[in-house]
Amino acid sequence: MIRVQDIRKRYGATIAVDGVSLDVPDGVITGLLGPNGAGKTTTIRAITGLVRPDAGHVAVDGLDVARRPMPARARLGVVPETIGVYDHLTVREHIEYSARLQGLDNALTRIRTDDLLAQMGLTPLSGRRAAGLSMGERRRLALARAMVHQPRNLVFDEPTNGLDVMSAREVRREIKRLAAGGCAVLVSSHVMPEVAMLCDRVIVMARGTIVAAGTPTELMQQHGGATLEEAFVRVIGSEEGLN
Amino acid sequence: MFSAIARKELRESVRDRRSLLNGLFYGVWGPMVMGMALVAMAGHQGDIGGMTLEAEGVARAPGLVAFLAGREVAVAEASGDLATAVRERRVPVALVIRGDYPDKFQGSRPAPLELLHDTTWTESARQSAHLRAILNDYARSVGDTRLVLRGVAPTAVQPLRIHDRDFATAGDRAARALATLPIFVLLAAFIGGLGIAADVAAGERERGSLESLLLHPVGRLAIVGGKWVAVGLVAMATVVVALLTTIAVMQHPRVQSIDLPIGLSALDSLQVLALLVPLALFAAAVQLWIAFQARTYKEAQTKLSALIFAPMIPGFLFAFGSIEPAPWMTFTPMIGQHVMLTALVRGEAPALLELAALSGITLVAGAVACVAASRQLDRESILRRTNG
Repeated sequence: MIRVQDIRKRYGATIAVDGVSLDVPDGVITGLLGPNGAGKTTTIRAITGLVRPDAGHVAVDGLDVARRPMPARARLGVVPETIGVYDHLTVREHIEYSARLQGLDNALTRIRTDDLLAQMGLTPLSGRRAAGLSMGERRRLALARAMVHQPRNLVFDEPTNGLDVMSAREVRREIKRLAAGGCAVLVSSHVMPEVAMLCDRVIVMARGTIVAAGTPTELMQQHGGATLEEAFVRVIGSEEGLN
Repeated sequence: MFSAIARKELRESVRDRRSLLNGLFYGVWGPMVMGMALVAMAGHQGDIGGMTLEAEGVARAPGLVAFLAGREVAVAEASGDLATAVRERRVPVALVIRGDYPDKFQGSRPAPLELLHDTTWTESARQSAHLRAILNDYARSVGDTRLVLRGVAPTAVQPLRIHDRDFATAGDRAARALATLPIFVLLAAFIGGLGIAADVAAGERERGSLESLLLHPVGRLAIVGGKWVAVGLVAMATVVVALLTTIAVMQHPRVQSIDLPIGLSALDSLQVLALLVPLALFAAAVQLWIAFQARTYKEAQTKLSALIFAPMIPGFLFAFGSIEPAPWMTFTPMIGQHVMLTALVRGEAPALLELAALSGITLVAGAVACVAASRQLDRESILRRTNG
């Protein structure tokens, strides 16, 4: 369970986030939708504690991120938008490194690494250096790293960015499985059909604020579009003139 | 966690090799350059035995030529233009006996000689100094004879007699030649970890792996600490390599034949290590702190390479005797190691208490730099990259 309460963040003259409140309940996939520069990444970084909001609070399973960042982070699994890998480490070593940094012992590190390699279809690649991985393989590796400590709260920033159809399907299936297992899942995206397919609830952001929220069906009804994309364009269009 | 980070960084740099070998290469190459310089300098030292002097107008000064021959200087009449020969560095030194020399000499007036030389040419400076001394001896002996002939005791025109007593020991003189040794060994501490510091700090930002790393529940100080250990170990390894190469260079027959009355004994080497291990850790911490402020590996490398000049400045000032070590310098990281290394090379044992104090201060300064680097990681702008 992630709870964001009225956070604000300003960079110089630019207001990145202006009073955003949202809940990411357990067992539900919440989508964060919005054009570039709407404040999605800033909101996500506030949840992970990498950005300190000027005002407002973020709590993960009731733990205040600003005051207790380490225990809060231990309950979060995050796949950031940019996935940097260490070219000279193997796939297995990447997962092991994350396990170590999460404080897992030797035995647990081995078990979790083997499980995740199998789960993400990375077992055949386990000994391969990350330099040679494709985008899809890198993203699956990032997913495995984010899940190594079995967090109950997951955040995905543009999870299928740059993926081919098959890889994107696999990633979506994994995200659904996590929510079905009772995890709180937050997915940020600007790919409409994906959000419509994947998310139980959608929060639409524009210019640092939440402009609409509801299930994809509710949004389509409220804003009168045959697809989520049309509804989105109407919501956002009225906000920023189709930017 | 801290050790997991150190192990991972070391594993990566061993596999990457480039940064690691760059550092270690210096450890071998630096002292070898110094050894070559020593051998080259030794070639210029020692007595000038006999020499040949090209001169113009040899027949005008038979007495002078005979005197020079008595001091093992064979004078030969020059074939071409002497000024050109000296200017083009074909002849290090030459003598022109002017046409009016015989008349003036006979008339007991100063007889003109021209000594052609080039002060920027070491060999020329050395030979001309030697020649000038012989010419002065000749002038004095002729002058003495003239005074005696006029009934004056030559001692009357010598109000002073100066006895040179140079207290510089043989060790001191060799230390002048070896004054650059501390710079070479000390630089190993700074160059060894440079590439790896740039890679584990700025490189991590550039690749975009820093955000993933910061998302783990690991304290910022532990992250910097792990990287510090990795960079520090590589810097220390470079110091050890540089020291071993230096010892090997000193054992080389060509260097041994210079007969330096000093050298690095096993005990000296241990003291050098005691000085340089904390310095390597200090350098690693400062390099990490600076590299975390750079967004790309290249930018970090440029900044860190510029920083290399910092430890060289006090080194050169000491080497060329421009400044005398003051007491506070002994306890200042980087400068203190220079002072003590210079003393060690001179064969003076540093006070162990001072050495321990300096090492302690250096380690504390390194820890402070680590804290500063960990503060960098708390800045939100650390996630900003050049392309996003």
